[in-house]
Amino acid sequence: MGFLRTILALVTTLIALVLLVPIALVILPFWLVSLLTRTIARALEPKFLTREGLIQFDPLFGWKARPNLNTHHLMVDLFHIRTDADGWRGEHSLAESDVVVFGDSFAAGYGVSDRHFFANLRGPQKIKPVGIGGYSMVQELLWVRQLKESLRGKLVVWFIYFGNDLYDNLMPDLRGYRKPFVRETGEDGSWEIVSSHVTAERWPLVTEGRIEGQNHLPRLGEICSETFLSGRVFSACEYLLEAGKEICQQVDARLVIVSVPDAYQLTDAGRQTLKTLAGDPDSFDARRPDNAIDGICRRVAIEFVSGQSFLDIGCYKTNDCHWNEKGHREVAKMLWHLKASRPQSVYTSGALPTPSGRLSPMESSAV
Amino acid sequence: MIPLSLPPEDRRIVLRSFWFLISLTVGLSVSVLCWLLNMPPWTRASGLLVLVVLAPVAFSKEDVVRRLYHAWNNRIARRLSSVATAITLRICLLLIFAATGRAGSRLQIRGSGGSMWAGRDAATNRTTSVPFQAVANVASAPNGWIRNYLRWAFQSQNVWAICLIPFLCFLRMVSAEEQTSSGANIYTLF
Repeated sequence: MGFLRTILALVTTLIALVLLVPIALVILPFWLVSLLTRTIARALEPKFLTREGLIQFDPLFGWKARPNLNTHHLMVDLFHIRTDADGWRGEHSLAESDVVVFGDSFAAGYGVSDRHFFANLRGPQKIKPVGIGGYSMVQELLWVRQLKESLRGKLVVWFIYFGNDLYDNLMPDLRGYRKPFVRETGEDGSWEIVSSHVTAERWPLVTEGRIEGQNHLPRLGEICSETFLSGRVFSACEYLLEAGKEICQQVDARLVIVSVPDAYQLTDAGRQTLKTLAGDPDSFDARRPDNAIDGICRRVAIEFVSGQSFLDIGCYKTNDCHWNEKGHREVAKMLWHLKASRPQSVYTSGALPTPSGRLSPMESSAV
Repeated sequence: MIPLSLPPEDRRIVLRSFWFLISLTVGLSVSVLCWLLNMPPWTRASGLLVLVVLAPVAFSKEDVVRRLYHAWNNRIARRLSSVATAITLRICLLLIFAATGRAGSRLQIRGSGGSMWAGRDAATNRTTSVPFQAVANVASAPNGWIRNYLRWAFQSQNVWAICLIPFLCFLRMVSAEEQTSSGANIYTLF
């Protein structure tokens, strides 16, 4: 039976192959396009580093940027990245820069190559970014503390990305990488920074969702609503901003907080998605984080600029949460504008101050 | 096996490679057409002009090229893939399987009066060797599955199944699905 079956299979296979020839001839040109496209792309594509190639363990910050890199990194598309001896991007040194920007991957300009990076665009001031992907405000505050003396007399801009910074302030890890975080001390709502757990070992309590970055939208939805989480994150944020202000005051640095909205907050469809993920849809407000930071900055008397005052959805990459080249141009203009403006002695409504110090027409909160 | 569709990630380098190929193809076609129509020799270089004009579009109008790229995948490649897959499977079913089925079956439908209980093989933890079980490490290699398949065909006395290999390869070739295996650490933190 087996022998007969094999013979039958052989004969019918030959017939079937002949019948497939016309189909193969039709398919062939299209398949060649697929093959040659991949071959050419593979031949021309530069080598790139994965995430672990960009960072190295640090016992204080959890991780820090690898210095002296000149490579590419993949974030939807490849972008060229160069870092200085300290691991920061940007053509200018910290000492020669007038503006120092602290933040996460937004401050580090992930997603665009060096020539489009806001810190490298030609302008009236030199800008130094101090940031790397994944940083929360806790790590950024530690860097403000570390670099305190280098900030003397400068404009210090602190980016707060609503997508994950506020939530990650409370988390002991990011995708398995241990990092300092803040927790309540239980005394009068005060907070403390915890870093005793920071080692090079992987944090064991990580969900697949966090590893793949699927957590941040539901958390953002919660933060935009009146939830237990939103109360905690803004309380933690206030603690961190107060600490940052204190450090900057000691070195006569002008501190300005700039919020970075997530792209989902900027479109109707995005807001609807966040609302469905929110813990309390009835209280959902996509502007809640801005309003909350607004209130915090009033209380702490820090200047604040809302990212929604100069960013729109056209400033963001598609299929990625980061800014595109247009976004970087807008950010650079905002920073130059900020440096040229007089310090606001009291909190403003998040408006971008004009060079003369008056509020720009689109914002109108009383001070 | 390279699938029929282009990579779903439309990175710049992939877009430019695709567009360069299309420009080259159009340019060559123009030159060949001029040659076939016995046009003056100088017109045969018009293909080069077409290439020079078309190719830079990938740099100046990236959005347009991106739309064309996705249109190629969604309107051409995937549809061709569906048709080719359907035809191939029907040919296999109506020719090969129908013919080999005529040779009888080893499937025991009725018992010989006694129990049909089969003891479990302690080594493989299976009661039968008929099902094809891919070994994960081998199957993930580009041609590792063929080796595994051949091993199974001989061990399970299904030598006739080797005849299906060309069709399996063809089905992989005309597939529009791409196995994405980006590592967990390939995307950055944010």
